[in-house]
Amino acid sequence: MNVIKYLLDLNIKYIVFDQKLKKSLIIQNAYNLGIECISVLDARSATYYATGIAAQSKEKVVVFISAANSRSAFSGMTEAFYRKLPVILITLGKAFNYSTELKDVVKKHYVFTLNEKMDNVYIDDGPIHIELIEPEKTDSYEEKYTSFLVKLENIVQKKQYLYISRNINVKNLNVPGKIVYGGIENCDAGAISNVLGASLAKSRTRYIGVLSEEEYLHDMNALGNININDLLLYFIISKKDNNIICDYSKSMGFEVFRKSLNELDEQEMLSAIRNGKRTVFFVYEEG
Amino acid sequence: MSHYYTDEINTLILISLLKKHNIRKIIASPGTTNISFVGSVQIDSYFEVYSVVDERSAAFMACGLAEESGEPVVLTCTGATASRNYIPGLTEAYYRHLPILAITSTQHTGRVGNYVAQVIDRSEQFPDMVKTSIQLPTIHSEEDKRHTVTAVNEAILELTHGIAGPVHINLLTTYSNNFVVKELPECRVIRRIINKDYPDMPKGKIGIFVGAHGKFTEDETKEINRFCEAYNAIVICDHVSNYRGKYRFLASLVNNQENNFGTKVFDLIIYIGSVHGAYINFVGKELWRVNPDGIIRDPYCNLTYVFEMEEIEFFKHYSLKEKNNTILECCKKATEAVFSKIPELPFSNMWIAKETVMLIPDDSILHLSILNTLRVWNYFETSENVLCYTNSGGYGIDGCLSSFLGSAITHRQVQHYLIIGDLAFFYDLNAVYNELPSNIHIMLINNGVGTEFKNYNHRASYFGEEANPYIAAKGHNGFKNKDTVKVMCGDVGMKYLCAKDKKEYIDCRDLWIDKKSGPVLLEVFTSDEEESKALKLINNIAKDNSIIGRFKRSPLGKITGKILRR
Repeated sequence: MNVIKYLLDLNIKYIVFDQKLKKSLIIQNAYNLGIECISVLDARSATYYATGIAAQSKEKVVVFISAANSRSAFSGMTEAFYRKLPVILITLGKAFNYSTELKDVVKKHYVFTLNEKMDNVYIDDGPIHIELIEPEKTDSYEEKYTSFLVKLENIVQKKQYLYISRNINVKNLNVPGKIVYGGIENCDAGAISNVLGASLAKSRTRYIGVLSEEEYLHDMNALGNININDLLLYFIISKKDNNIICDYSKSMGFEVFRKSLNELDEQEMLSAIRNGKRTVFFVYEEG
Repeated sequence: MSHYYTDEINTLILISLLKKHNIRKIIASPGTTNISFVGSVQIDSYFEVYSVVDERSAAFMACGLAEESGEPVVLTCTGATASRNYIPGLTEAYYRHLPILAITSTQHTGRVGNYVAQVIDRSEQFPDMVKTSIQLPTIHSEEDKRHTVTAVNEAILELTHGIAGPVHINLLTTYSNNFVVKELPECRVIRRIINKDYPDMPKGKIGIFVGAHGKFTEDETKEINRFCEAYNAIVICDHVSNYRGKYRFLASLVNNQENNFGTKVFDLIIYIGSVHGAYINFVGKELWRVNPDGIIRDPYCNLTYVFEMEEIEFFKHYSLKEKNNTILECCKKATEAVFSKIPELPFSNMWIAKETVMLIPDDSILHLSILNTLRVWNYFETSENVLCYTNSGGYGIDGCLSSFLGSAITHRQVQHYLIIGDLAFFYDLNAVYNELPSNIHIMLINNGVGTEFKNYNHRASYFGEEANPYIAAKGHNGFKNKDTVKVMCGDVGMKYLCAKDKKEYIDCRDLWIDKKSGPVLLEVFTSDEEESKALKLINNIAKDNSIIGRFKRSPLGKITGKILRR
């Protein structure tokens, strides 16, 4: 792989990567070569990790994230830029338009396909951005969670606002009230905030957000916001049980329901909608 | 409440215009640099302000709020990397077409790149993040203030213009702690009209000002005429306006007089076309711009409406009233009165224009070079079927000859006439080494200097002779060398004619105009002294002899004027 060759040529010792890319061949190969690969949940956080590593180790550090999450990378890259830290931001896929880069985030910008040789890529006195353009595999929640969504369709009523995040990846739900398909495909940021923002518009609507575990974790600090209110209900869909989500939600004053897909009961979902309290309804796959 | 609005004027204008545009929802993130803004909106009960610490979360909240409420939402953040955290949310807003106004407060942008803590460069944006981005510097003058009003209006309007989406304002602050302003300034609002909510036509005197414009269709001319009849309006023109309807008022001659014939002051100017050719004296209380591009163009800082539509649609909408036009007569009489008193002019571009302009044949195209030529030829009317052009887009002297030749080879059957000064001609000289079609008639007014800078009323006249070497470019290009252009014309196969005085000019004028002569170049040698003298003579035909006018001309009046201007 040309990327791996490039990493070897540069004698890269650290890669900070978006945990979504754990199974990518690049990371697998890098592991095998003994490069230290550090998994980080949030791309914003990943770039700052890299600044910390680069400052301490004096080594070039690669930040490897999916293009869909790349828009969160630029606060950390700004930090790297002003401190002349050799951070190499590699974004995988093509989600956004980087034909213009901000002035003070990277020194150079390169675009390659996976098969192209990465010649003439220089890094000297500051960070660079390499776009590796390759379609990304998408993880859909659609099929596994059909039973949940069917129940949801049955109970959501008029005057209730339903937000379905792009990661849930279902369309054309049939509900009597307003439905918003928000977010950008595979971008994990902002789902909790989106619904919170909407809930500030009207005072008598139940605002229901359906989002993935990753989206919750990316945006969980929004639960601590002082504008959080009793109109809000979040359904969090997860592959496995998660104490953090339930405990943190509780500590932020949310009423928490915690159910596996098999135990899921329409009446219980309905009572969560009707309880008039800020609520997190956590749904996970068993085992 | 112990404090009021900030005294930072750019911030006050912004807040005032947010209110005028009915924007009340604000999501504020904590910080020092946006205190002037946040401290001001939080005391105004008009605004709904929400606090969010993480700017990434704030921007996504704005998405939800804007979508659900159907209203634009304002974000405000401090310096450092705060604004970088808006990027994901603004990107989402961009793709979901949500109107979010991201106001990022900053210290003086001169501090960018100088190791000043918390200062980053926000001058460039990702293409798919915001629709437009403006810098809002601190205000030091009245003109700063006027342009700030325009810029803020434009930014706010862009939120919902066409496909809605986010907009960025980088707001400079001086960290003023004077929260002492009790009332927001009244700011001019600009609105965009697309197909409804047409405002009422204001009462008073209405002028249509036509900037550079292509040929008008018969229907367009008819609608403009109907409009003028209905509203007692006049069409203020220079040659490149190309409006040839009944209400054409070629205004340079009359409006450059000190005397006011009632043709200078308007309650409303309706601006159509692009950058004007001649600098015509007139003022309008407010300006309406009509153009299908719908862009905010505010040359006099008095724009109140932009009509995003074809001109004909605009005039049709408003032309529903009874007929009663008297201003046309007023303009015509003024033109006749001033024209009849034009004194004998010295040999100059002005004199040539007067003696030539009506002889440019019907159905031909006249190009006027920037800038003195364009000015002086606008004092005299052309024949009705002549179309006129100038490079008033960028207003440069660099391509007048090339544009003319481009036009000439496009319409080879149409006779093309170019009047061009020596600075512009030599600038673009190598254009003559291209193919020269036979329909071109070039008149080169060669006075060996940029006469523009030598005119009595130009600011460079303050330097007198000292303007010559660096400001007015005197003496270049052979300095009126009688052989330079002549030999060149021989080399490229262009007929050469030459005139050094009035008699010589009259002798060769007809030959230059003759359709069979082309390609032909007539070089006329004049002097900058005579050029300036001619301009002064023609601008001083009708003096203002009222007490105020005489006072203004007196030494005491001039000193008073200077003091007042300061």
